[in-house]
Amino acid sequence: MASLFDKRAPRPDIAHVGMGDKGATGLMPAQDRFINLILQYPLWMLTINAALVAVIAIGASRLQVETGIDIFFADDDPNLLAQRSLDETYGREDNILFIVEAVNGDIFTPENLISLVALTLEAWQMPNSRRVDSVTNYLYPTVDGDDIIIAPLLDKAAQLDTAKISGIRDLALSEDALVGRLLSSDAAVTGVNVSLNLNLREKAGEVDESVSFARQLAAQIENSNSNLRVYLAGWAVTEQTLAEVTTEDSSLLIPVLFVVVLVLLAFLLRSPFASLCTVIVILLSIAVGMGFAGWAGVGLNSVNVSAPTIIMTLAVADCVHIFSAFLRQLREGMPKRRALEYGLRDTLYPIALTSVTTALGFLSMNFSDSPPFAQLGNVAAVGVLGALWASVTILPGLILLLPFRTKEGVSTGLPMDGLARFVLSHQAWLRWGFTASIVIIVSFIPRIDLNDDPSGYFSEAIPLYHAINMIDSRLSGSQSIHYSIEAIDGESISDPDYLEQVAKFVNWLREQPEVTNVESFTDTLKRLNQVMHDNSQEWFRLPDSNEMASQYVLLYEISVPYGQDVTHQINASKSALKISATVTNQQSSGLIAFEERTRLWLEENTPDIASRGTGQSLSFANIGLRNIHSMLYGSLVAIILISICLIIAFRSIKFGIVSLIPNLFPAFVTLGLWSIFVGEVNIAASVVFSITLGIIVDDTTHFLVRYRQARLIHSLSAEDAIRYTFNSVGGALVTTSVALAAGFFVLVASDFSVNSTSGLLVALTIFMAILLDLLWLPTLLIKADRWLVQRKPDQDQLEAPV
Amino acid sequence: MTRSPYLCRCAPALLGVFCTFAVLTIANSSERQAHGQSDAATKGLEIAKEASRRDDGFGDSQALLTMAMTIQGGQTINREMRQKVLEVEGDGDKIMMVFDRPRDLKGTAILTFTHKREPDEQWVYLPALKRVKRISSADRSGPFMGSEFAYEDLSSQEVEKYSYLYLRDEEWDGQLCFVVERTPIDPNSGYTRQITWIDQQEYRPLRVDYYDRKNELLKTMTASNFSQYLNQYWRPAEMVMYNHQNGKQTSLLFSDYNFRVGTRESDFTPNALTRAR
Repeated sequence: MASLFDKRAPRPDIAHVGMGDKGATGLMPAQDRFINLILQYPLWMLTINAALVAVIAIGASRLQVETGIDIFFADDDPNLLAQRSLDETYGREDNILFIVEAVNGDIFTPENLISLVALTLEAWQMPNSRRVDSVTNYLYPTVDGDDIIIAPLLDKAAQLDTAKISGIRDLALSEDALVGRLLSSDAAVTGVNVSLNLNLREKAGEVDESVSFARQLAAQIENSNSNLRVYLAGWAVTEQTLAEVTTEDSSLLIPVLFVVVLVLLAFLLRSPFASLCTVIVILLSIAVGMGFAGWAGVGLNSVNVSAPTIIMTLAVADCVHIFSAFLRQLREGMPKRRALEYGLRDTLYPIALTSVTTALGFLSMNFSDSPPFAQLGNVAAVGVLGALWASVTILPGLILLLPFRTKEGVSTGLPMDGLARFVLSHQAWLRWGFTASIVIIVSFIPRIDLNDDPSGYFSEAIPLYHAINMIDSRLSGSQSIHYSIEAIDGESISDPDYLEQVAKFVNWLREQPEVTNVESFTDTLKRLNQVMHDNSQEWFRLPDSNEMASQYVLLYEISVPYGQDVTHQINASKSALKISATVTNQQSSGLIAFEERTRLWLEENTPDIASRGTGQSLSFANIGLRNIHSMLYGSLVAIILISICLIIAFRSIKFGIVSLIPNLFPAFVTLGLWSIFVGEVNIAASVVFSITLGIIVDDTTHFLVRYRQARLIHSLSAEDAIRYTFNSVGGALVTTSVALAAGFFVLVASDFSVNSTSGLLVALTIFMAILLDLLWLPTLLIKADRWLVQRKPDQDQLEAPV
Repeated sequence: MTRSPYLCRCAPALLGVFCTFAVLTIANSSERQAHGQSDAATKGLEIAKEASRRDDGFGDSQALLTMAMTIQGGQTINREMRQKVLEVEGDGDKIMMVFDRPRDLKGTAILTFTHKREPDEQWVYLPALKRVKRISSADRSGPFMGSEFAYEDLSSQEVEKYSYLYLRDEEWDGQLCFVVERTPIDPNSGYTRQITWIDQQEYRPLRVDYYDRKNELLKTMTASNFSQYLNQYWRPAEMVMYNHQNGKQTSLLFSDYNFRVGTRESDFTPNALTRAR
């Protein structure tokens, strides 16, 4: 048997073209008419359809970029509501933090203080600045006889003598509000925090303005004082850095990715023109997807921006299938037009099946409760269908227009037949070896840590990486949680009972190991009380009546400078206080767990003031975990839905179930390997599934369609059917996989860890998909043959081999 | 947000500023410009002096003041206080504010001696503590009681506290105004400059634009519903401050104006604060 196929491996030729599949026979006349139409009027088809694509593509000009966190949440999400109310009441959290490190180990030297005062003053000039907080402008009420003096710790460093400096140093180091937030406990590192008022609509431009100013100012301070090193962090800097690294990637690495894919295609298909046509189809498909997004009013955001990449993978796969079939016949001497007809007949059905099922899979992402994922699903679904559309209506015209070499003897050069022989002769080894390895690898998945935290987004080449390190290791914590604590029964914050409970909470927070600082107006009230009682230590406590507290607040309010008011700590109606806890960098799940712990403590110990923590750190932690979960479950649902489609298409539940194996395991194995070697996965993991979904389904569908055709229609034995399948689609699958895996591997060079990780994961998953499809799936199909194909005798009778 | 009507009204003015600036830049040689500058400064100062002269001699006044802040959800917070002013010849006015509402603040009183050149002096009486304290703060540019007004916006606007530059004539709210830029002399002021619209008929400040320390437009104050008292002194019934940067707004409503009620110097001393209630 084997020797028979060695020489004349069953190759699909014109005689048994078509799907020959029982389930699809009804489509055959329609398919033939369609192919005839395309081949009869190729240029008309090309022109008309290109024009239609152009009309859709116009929509892309309506695309607008969306930023902010609101887009990730449903409108009634408690987290979003808490964050919004916090922003509206106390002002947005957007900030730029200058981290100043004294190389000589002490910030409190005359030269360093002069620089720090200058930095604090200059920071006011930052575009969009709203308030500036530093050690030097920290307001500290003091007493001088009957006079109360509310003044910054230090306005003019120039006049200070060493005794005075050491006094200020001791004072600053004893202030709860400063240490662990703006001052390190060893006084070697300090922070100057600039709060920004950003207009949400023009945010990108305003962030750019503020960050550019901050960078210049930091450089200026470093130049004027060689003792100081200035780092920049904060939300605005994170946002700006994200924008910069993603821009760099999309202007450098993404183009390189495309070039690598196309060069490899040209090489593997041995035809530069095939590669050129593929470029055109890719661009047209993306135009369809993004044009649709524009017309549908979808805004571009960090999630759905990966749609073009997803669309690209399927456009590549579609083209490679058509080209493989076409070029093979062409190189075997068939006239061009007939070779093309052959290519289309041979591939139209599996391509259409892959595209439609993948599109349906993507549409299932509409079940996600995070809007950007639903949008990504819809745009990718339309783009995938666009890829199908472009490759069957426009590509044939291009092929007929362009000169393709008809020289004989040039083959794709992939020894698929040899590979089939290898798989068949070592099938037992492969089957058990792979099964065992996969079971072991997959068993590691539960150990993986899902984590998404912006501080881990950047490589060491990015300054922000060092700034965040500096904050977490030397100064304070890079995350913060805020609590807007309402007065009891909607009364006033001056209520002594309320203040007592808040202070209790603040004390408890300060004892928590992850907390480096807690900022609370209760501290200011205690200090004011002391100051009003002639600075006597015993009065360093909360005021004991409503009136007293209210009057202290008023006194303080009328005495503070612009930009150092208490509106960021007390709401306008004086019915709520904001408590801010600075926390050392926790993983997303750690931060969420910390918030839950504090909420529980509040409910148990101070139920009257129970409230939830909120803020951007927490929102991002939530978004990260949600996105990862949305994407993982969304993709899982998609794959199951795709298998149901295949069950219908194959009219066989068993084949549908078998299709789950090659559809699910590539990503599982990748995640398992990642768990073993890396352990922690960020939001990159979520895009991996969606980007590879199309290519995995493509591998599976083409393989199984071909195998079924060989096994059931041509009544080949299971082993011969494998060989047939390898020979007819193996080359195309390997070509697509190699080109795309190599392309995505380029992203590993990114300084943005989401891109570098996802590039690596996507490449690995594509590699796993082809590896499992060629080396593992065949051995399972052979083993399960009796179960899969029970009605073999009937089949033989009904459809005898041609 | 009540932003749009305001912006609509401001837009022509801003356009005017821009056009004037453009024309000046193109047409004038630097020498003529310098000359024009000193002319403009003189004219600006003259306008400020005239406004101040017209307000001279009111003696003393009292008024009820309601501060209304609109917060999220359209809720309004009201604070009520009494304001007493004593005119001081040759120096800034003495101002006393006594709080009536909210209840917790009732009887709290602030006395300010404004000065033409030196920093203002301030005493506070807290009834809960039954003590008068002198408050030293070089910089009171922060928001007054959480409102959009700063303490320095409400303090006595002495001529000597600013340098002036007349910009142009312009109609505002149906009245022909002088538009004058004034720059605070006090380095601790929260503003780099203010643009004022002063009506040419009565020399009342109808509108003030405040520019923050980085010279960005921060707030706009508009005064309206003026009444004339003692046949000479004009006082607004309403002042609205709109913050362009955070979109919030505060209104100050004045009522029950009384002039020359016979308050004496001795009613404006730190000790008198305890009796202010």
